[in-house]
Amino acid sequence: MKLGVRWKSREAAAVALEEPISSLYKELREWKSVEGLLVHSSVILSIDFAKAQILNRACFGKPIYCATSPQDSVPTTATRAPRLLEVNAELEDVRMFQLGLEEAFFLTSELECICICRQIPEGRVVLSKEEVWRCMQASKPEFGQLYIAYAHLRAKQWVVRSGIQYGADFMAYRHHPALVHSDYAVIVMVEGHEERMKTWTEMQAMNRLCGSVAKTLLLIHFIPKREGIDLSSPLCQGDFVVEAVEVRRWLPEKSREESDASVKPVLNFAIS
Amino acid sequence: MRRADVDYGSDGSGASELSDDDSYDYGGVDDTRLRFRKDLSVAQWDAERGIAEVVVKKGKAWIVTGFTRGSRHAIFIEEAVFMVEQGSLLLREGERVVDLLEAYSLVSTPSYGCSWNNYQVYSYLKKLGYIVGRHNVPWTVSKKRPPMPADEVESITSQFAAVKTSEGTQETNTACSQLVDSKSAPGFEVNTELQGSESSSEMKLMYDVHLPNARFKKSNPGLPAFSLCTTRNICQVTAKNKEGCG
Repeated sequence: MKLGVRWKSREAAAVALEEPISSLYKELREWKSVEGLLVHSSVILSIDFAKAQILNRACFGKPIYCATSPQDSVPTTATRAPRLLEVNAELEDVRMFQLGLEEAFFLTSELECICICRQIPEGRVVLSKEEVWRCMQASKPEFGQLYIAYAHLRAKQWVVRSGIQYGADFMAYRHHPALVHSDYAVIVMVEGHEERMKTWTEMQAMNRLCGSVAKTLLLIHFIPKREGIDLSSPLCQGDFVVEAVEVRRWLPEKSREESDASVKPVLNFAIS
Repeated sequence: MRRADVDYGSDGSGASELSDDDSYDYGGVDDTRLRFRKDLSVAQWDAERGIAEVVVKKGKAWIVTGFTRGSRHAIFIEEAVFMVEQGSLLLREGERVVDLLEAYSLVSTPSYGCSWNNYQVYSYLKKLGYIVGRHNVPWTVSKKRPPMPADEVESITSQFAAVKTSEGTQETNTACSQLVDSKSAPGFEVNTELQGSESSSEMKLMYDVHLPNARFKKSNPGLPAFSLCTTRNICQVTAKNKEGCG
C-alpha cells in the first residue's frame, strides 16, 4: 500500500512545511473573540484582511463577494435621494466570511477564537456553547454526529471540507487543498438516520468514484460508550468512541508479493 | 519561494472535471469587496408585510427585480439583500439603515418567505444573469390578468401564502405541477412551513427562473425555463415548459 503525503509540487510541500496547520491554529487562538452571526445554517463573520487570510490558509469557510462602504461615506437619513459617493474613497478593510456549522462550532468550541451571536429585534445577543449546539442541531438533525467526526479529524490537523461535490460528507486533506491532493472522501455513518453503505453495490460505487478522483474512502463509525446518549448537548462528544475505517479495493492479482507487515487489513469478499 | 507564487486558480482542463482541488488558492485572499454604486436606489423595509417598498429607483436592475402593483414597486427580502450585497441599494427601516449583517439575518427568517439556503440559490443564479422571481407571484398586474382582491393587494405576502392560482398564472406552470405532485400544491405557507419544507421530503416550489434576457418585460415575461425548490442538499427541478404566450 502506498503511504505518504501527495503534494502537488515540491514548492507546495515547502510552503506547507513552513506553515503547518498547527501554527495556523495557534494564530487563530490569539484572536480576541470575533463575533459571528448565526443565520440558520451558516455563520457570517465580518473581519479584516489579515484574519481573512488566516481563515483561508487554515481552510475555514469561504469569502462572500459584497459591497463595502467607502470609509468616508455617511448613510443619509433624509428621505431625498442619497448624495453621490466619492469615487476615490478608500474601501473599508472589511471582509465577509461564511462558515459552515461544523466549522463555526469548531472555531468557537476548540480554538475559542469566535463567539456566535444571533440577531433579535433589540440587537445581537451572544449565545452560549450549549445554545449554539441546540440551534445548529435544530437546523440540521445530523449536525451532532457530523460535528464529532469533523472535530475528530480537525483536531488531528486534517483540513476538512464539504464533500458534497463527491457524494461524501467531507473531504480530508493533509494541508490546504491548493498544496496537496485530497487523501480521503469521508462518509459519516450516522446512527439511525439513514441506511448508508449497507449494500455491496453502494460500497463499490463509492469506492470506484473515489478511485477515479484519486481519493480513498474513509468511513467514520461511532461506538456509544453507554445507553441513552443525549445528542442535544455538546457534552455528548465524550460519550462516543470514534472509529475511522479505510476502505480500499484489494486486488488478489497484485498482492502476491509480501505486503507491508505493519498494516493488517481485514478483507471482505463479495460474491455475485 | 513566496506563498503568492503558489496559485492553482485555473481548473479549466477537462481532465480535472472530477476534481475541484485545483480551484483553491493558497496565500492571499482575493479582493472580495465590491464598490457601492455612485447612485443608490433606496427601499423601505416593512417587517409586518415582509417586503420592501422601493422609494428611489436607479439603474437597470429594476427591469428584472421586484414586482409592481399599480404605481408601487416592491421587492422581497432576498431581492433586497442581494442588491445591498451588490452595493446598489440602501435598505432602510424607518430612518435607520439596515446593514448587511442584519439583512442576512432577515433573509434567513422563515416568516419573510425565504431562508438562508434559498438565498444562496437565488444569489448564485442572479450572479449568473438568470431572472429569478418567486414562484407563482406575478411580476405585474395588468388588464389581461384577473384583478387582485383589495385585501390581497394590501398584504402582499398573504397572496402566495395559500396559492390561489388564477387562470393567468396556472397555465404557465402545467409542466411544473405535473412534475411536482399534489403534496406540495396548493403550496407555499410563508409563515410556518418554510423550515419544515427543507427538512421533509416534500418539494415546495420556491422560484420561477427565466433565462438571461435583455428584452425581458414584466408585463409579458413568458414561461419560466424552470421552477425550483431547495432541500437541505440543494437540488434543482428542471421543467421544460411548452412555449406559449404569457
